[in-house]
Amino acid sequence: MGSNVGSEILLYIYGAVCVSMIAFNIVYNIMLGHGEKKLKQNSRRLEAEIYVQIHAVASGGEISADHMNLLKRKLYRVKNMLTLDDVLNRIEGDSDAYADGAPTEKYMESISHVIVGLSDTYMNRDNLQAAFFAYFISKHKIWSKDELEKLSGSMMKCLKKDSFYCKINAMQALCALADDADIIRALEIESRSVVPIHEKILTEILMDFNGDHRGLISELWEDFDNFSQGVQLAVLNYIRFKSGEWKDEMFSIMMDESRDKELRFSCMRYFAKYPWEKARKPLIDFTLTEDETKWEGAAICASAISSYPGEDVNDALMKAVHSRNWYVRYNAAESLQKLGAEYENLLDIISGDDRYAREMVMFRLEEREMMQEGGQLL
Amino acid sequence: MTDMVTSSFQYFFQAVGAFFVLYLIGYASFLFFSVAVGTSTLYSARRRNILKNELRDNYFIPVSVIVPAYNEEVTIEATVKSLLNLHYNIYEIIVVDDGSQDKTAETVRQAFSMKKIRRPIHRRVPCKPVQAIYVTEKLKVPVTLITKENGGKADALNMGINAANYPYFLCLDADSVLQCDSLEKIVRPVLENSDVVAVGGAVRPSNGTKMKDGRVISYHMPKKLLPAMQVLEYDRSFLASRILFDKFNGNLIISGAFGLFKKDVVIAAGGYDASTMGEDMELAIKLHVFCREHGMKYRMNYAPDAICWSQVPENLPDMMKQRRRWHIGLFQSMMIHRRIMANTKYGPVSFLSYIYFLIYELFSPYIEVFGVVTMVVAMLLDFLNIPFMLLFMGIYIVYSAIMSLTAFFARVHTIDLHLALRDVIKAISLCAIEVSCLRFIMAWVRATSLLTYRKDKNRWGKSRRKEISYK
Repeated sequence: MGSNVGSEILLYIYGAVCVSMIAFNIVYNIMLGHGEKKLKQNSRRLEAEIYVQIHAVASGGEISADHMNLLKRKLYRVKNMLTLDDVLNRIEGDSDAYADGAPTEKYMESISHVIVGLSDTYMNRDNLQAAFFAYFISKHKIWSKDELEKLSGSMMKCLKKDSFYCKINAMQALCALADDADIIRALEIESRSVVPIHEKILTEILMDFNGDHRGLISELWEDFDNFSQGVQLAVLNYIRFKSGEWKDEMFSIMMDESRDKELRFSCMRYFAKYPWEKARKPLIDFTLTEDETKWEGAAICASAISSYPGEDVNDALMKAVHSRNWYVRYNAAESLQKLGAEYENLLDIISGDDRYAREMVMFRLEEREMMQEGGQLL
Repeated sequence: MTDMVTSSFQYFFQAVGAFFVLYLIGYASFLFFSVAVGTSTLYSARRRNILKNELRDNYFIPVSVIVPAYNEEVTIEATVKSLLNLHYNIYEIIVVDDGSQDKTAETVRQAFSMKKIRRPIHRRVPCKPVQAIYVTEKLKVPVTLITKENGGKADALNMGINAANYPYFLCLDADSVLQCDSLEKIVRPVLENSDVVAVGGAVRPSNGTKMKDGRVISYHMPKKLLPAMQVLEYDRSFLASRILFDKFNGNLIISGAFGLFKKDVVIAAGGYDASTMGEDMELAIKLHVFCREHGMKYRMNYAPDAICWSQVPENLPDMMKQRRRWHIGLFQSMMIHRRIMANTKYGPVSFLSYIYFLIYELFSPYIEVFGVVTMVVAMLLDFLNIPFMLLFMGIYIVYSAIMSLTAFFARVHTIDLHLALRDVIKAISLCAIEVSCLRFIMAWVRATSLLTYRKDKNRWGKSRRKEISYK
């Protein structure tokens, strides 16, 4: 009797859960549909108002006081910021339609103080809204000098939040605001982060720096040792993509055995892109190292020395193609191919006893033949 | 004596009844939590995307896409074409023809104008020997075709790993197509956290789907009932339970149809096990074991917005072969790694994930079949309270059906996919049949799969393929 009652109660509980889930599905989907409809209606009104003002400014007029007040009231809500962002993006995307380019710049200059005034509000909200505000700052880049200072402070706050997207969007915003000192500070904060940004992303963000890259790179070198290893790697990769002017600094890191190996590898790749006579012999020596634990550096250098044509490099590659390490052999054979070694030059390897070296070299010769027939390197 | 026998039967049926109540409470609770967590995660992800909390710009890590193929001449061209349409900058495609008996290799060679080359392969994980290698010249990304001696899907994947040039590889079934943003989305967890060693994507039945240039241009529930029911089943699995397991790094399956892996970690762990049929699950568990035993900080994530469209069986014999294979694979993977069960060293993977899979996946067909048999015997011996039983089963079926529908409707929040009214009606009509009739048929199939384990353990069986509508 007792167990039957217990089972019935259980059935009623699960029955109630069923009813709740059905109700949830119906109510939520109605609310979602209704909410989206209402959002679209509100957006259309604000959109129409913004369009009118943008075109007024584009025609040489000014933004009305009513519009300013409207923005001050409306932009507290993130959905209205979304609407503004959407309108600006659409107009910018359609810039061909305007004789003098998209008129959004003048509009943004006029309302920038309203946006800046909202920065503290958004920074004190949840991470999603803070990250969106940072995105908005990075996307629409018209700010006066005073405004820059206020926004930098907000972006530093955003950078310290415990959210991946807050950090990314804040870094992007700081690069858009283009202050060298802020970037250095941001990288120092990032160096102390428990969950760091992937170095590839960090490198790409630095590449989008809106100011003078040369000036930024100088400052980065001054503070280089204050950064974490991940940030240092991102910085070195960024410098590699941007400038060949820092050979002494790169050489010093490459030759310093106390440095992390990834940093040294990045420097080796730097000298592949920007050949430097002083780096020639060290790169050849790294290629031919007999220390098997250093195969990664040897493989990278076997590839890098293809930028240094000469007898010494050819000799080094002919030796490297016999390496016990597959990657060193692979890269050495590729470098020989890039340097234009022909079948006759490689006869010793092709007719030699080392099957592995022969396979690598034959593959590269076939590949070049295919490239010459078809016009594209594999 | 008769009284003793009668009371023995009574105790037995009461014990079985109590067991089933507990079993179903456990399953129903899991289902509820997984659907609740899954749908709330999807709703949060939608809000996040609207508020630009996403990687908007082009951040890429190089990926080798490996497509193992065996007798896939009907679908392989569309699969490779879908891969060439990916919005991604740095990747390569490696098709591994595992000794097909049909024209799979010839189809790829002719469709993409491939030429033979003697490319050395670095064999870091064991696999059967290469027969020939072909490459292309003028496509968007390098495409390589490797033909090899037949060794099974795991062996073909190992060959692909050996041939891969990039630090991450993606395994993709040869009867599947990706959306143009699938690779970008599955890579995202790796960019967010460099501890991620594997990412599983969402697999959806492609029966009833038309794609053009990497986008779904037309979607409806499949016309046939069987694939339509599998849509509900896949949504429940991919949109619910995997998201829940993801919360505590406890996913034991990274789908073999669509999964991204860090190559060096897989190689260090020994690659795919060619002796199992469930190579995807075996690798996922192996990676958990390897990383924990080596004290590595790691995560295995699930990306619900990275979508792969894959064909599901359209007839019962093919579906039975598939589920039999899956169950044997599950059994093999659980047995190989049985040492992790209830072992504190392996954390929630052991106490939650492994125990769940043991009870509700591996043993469940036997439990359910036993339940049905016991019910019939109880009814014949007049021990069954039939009205109560019917009410119990009815509530259970309605409950499971509603959970399935909730997961199904959660796809409303997926970008690029809209539900037609007829699809909604079809889903509502089929959900009860799916969780009752189809489930019990599959329970029987799975329960009997291990009876022919020794004979079937390395057999694939033939599945009929349909051409994929991809332009």
